[in-house]
Amino acid sequence: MPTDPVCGMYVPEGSSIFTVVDGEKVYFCSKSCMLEYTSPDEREKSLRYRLAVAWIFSIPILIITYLLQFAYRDYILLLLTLPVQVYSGYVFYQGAYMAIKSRQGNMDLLITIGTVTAFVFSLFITIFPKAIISASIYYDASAFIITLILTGNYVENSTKKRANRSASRLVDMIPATSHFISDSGEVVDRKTSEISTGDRILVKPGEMFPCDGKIYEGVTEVDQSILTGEQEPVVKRVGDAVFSGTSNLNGSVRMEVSKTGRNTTVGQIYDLIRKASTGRAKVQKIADRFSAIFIPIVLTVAVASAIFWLIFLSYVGSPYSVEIAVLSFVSVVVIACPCAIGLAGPITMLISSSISSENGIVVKNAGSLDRLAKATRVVFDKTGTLTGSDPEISSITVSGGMKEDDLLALGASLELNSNHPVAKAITNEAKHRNLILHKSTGIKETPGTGIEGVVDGNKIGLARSMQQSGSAVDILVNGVKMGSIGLEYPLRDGSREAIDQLQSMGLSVSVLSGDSEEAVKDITQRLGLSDFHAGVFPGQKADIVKEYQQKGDYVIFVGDGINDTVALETADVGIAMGSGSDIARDSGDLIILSNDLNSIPKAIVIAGKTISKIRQNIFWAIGYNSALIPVAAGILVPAFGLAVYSVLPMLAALAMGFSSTTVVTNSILMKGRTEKILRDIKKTGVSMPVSGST
Amino acid sequence: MEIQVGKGTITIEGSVLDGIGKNYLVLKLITEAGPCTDAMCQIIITIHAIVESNLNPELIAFPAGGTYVAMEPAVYRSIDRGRQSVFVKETRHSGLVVKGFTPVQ
Repeated sequence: MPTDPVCGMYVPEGSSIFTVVDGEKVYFCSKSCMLEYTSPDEREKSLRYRLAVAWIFSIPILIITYLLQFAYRDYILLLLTLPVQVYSGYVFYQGAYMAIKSRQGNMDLLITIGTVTAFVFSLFITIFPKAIISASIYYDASAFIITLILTGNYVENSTKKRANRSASRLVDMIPATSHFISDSGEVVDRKTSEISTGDRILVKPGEMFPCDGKIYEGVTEVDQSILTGEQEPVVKRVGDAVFSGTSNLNGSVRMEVSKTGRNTTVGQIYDLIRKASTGRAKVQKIADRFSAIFIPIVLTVAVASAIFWLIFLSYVGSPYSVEIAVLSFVSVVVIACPCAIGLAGPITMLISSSISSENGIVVKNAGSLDRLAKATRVVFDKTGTLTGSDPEISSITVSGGMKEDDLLALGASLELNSNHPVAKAITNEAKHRNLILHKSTGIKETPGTGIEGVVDGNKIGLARSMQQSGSAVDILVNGVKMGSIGLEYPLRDGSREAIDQLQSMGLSVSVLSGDSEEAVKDITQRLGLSDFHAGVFPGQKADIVKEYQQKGDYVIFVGDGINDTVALETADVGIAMGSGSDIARDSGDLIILSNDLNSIPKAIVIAGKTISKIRQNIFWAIGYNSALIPVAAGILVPAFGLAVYSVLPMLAALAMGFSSTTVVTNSILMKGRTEKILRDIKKTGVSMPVSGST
Repeated sequence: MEIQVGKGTITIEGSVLDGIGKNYLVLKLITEAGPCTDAMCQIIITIHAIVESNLNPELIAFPAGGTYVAMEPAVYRSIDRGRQSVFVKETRHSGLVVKGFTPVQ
């Protein structure tokens, strides 16, 4: 079932509320969500107008209420209040109507009840001034509830925009114009949005690549730091893939476009960052429970406090019983802010995902951050993860009187048919030695085992060597072993530092590999590790992960994502090492774009900070409501007297208006603090706590 | 009765199973809009235990005392990945209630 990209709600397929983006239907739960998606600025403009009208009328209302006395004063105040009440407050009524219609309580419902109660009470007193003895009008309260909450919403929106800005920074940087190459070879400027798959474009030095594609002419160095976090430029030649958002540093290149718009690497990362706000940490369950009972509880407390003051003040003979009952009801309803609770998790997830993407970490499943912060063990796949994925030939052993080059030529003739990294190493070595390769037939490749076929009438087989120490393949001619090719996988840069870092954070580290015990032992010794599993077939990796889990470990599995799908899914958190084109892969909760293993401790630090910040926000929001609802209900009256109620509704509106802003601002603070820790990791490799207070 | 669900468990009170008879116990997630009318607001997710007479093949089912307890894949994933111990109980006023469940992605 499709989800609304704005609010994350499930929407039935076939809903009439949809828009088409890049040829795909995007469904929405409501027209307001669709408007926010298609024209986000419209909503802000409308909010600005309503806020301006609210302030223009509210200030004279306040001056007249507290400083001036004249004939028909109440009617003048009524006229001044109407635009605020009707025009500026319309957004709240709309939300309240939706809440009633869907039988769900929301903050708009509370605001509407509060402001309409104050307004209707004042209207009644204006028309029937003698109906309630000593009663005053409270247009200032009704208008200022709307004005202050709208102001709070406006400030909150601006703060959220700041939070979103880092997420949208990637797409904002994509050039609006591209140099399109026509069939005749002429270069013309076109809007990037009009470029399609298969088009050819020119990218000049200093420009940013507007789309994903392949270079077909030219050589250049590319700064890919925006995607991978790596500052070192990468040389790109004919046939190499280039990604939108990366910078062409010094060469003019021509490329064929393979992906545009939302389908590009940058577009997909942006979508994932936006979706991160729908991810959930376990602590957010509190918000689920609280939200479900919040509105009924607030309304009950408001009614109870009104009844209490009505009965109590009538009993003691106070003439203000009705007035104070109404004001206490309004104050309780207005001061309660469920919104802060609702925002606590999603806004932090959004900022966390944005910090991750700036460090070359793509968070595909924001819900996994919870488990990442709890991890106790990291299990690495060896080949392609701890080592590079492309092996190098370390030795060739010949037996049976065959020449080394002849053996290599036979093996390479067969391996020409395979895309396996071992095949690539063997064919590259044969090309390097200028060997003549032969045609092969009847090719049969068995994953994890080897390849066989017929070359020059001989049945040739290349199989994983079970005898030679280290990684090696045996070459068999007509079933007879004629030699072996030894292979070596170079360790990935920074792998030792990353493992030291993880161990200093208190995590256990293990290695899994399909290679021989000797080969794996060699690598693990170089990395200072003792726990490893050698000779593991792809299907067994998940079983080993399960064994660790049964022993009580929270396991992060780090693999190259190709043969590790099951293990990535079985682990509590699957981290796939990838290149820029791998985002679309299904497996893995996180993807490390930079291929830098130091991103793993960084991801754990970000996860710890995120969970800690969500917890902080939720407890702040609940604490705020727990402390201020009793204040609005009148707990301070014994200390300050009933006069406190002349300003309490407005103070309540001010507090509600800015409570959500506090949550958003607190989440934004996470960015600076987390980035400082990440910089320290990069510089010094110092040990950092997995989680902690921010 | 305790049922192993991935790395987690579901414990169903005997009286619940007795009451189901030949029907099936189904665990479903219900999503609702959050408390603020805002694009960023948390979606409220709650789990519900329902007795149904037909077993939807899209659900993941486990045998439980002569009948089946079935759940949406999202419920299974939550219990498995979250290593949760979930309890299904019967209360006098609210019918079937599910305790110990947290939505996990």
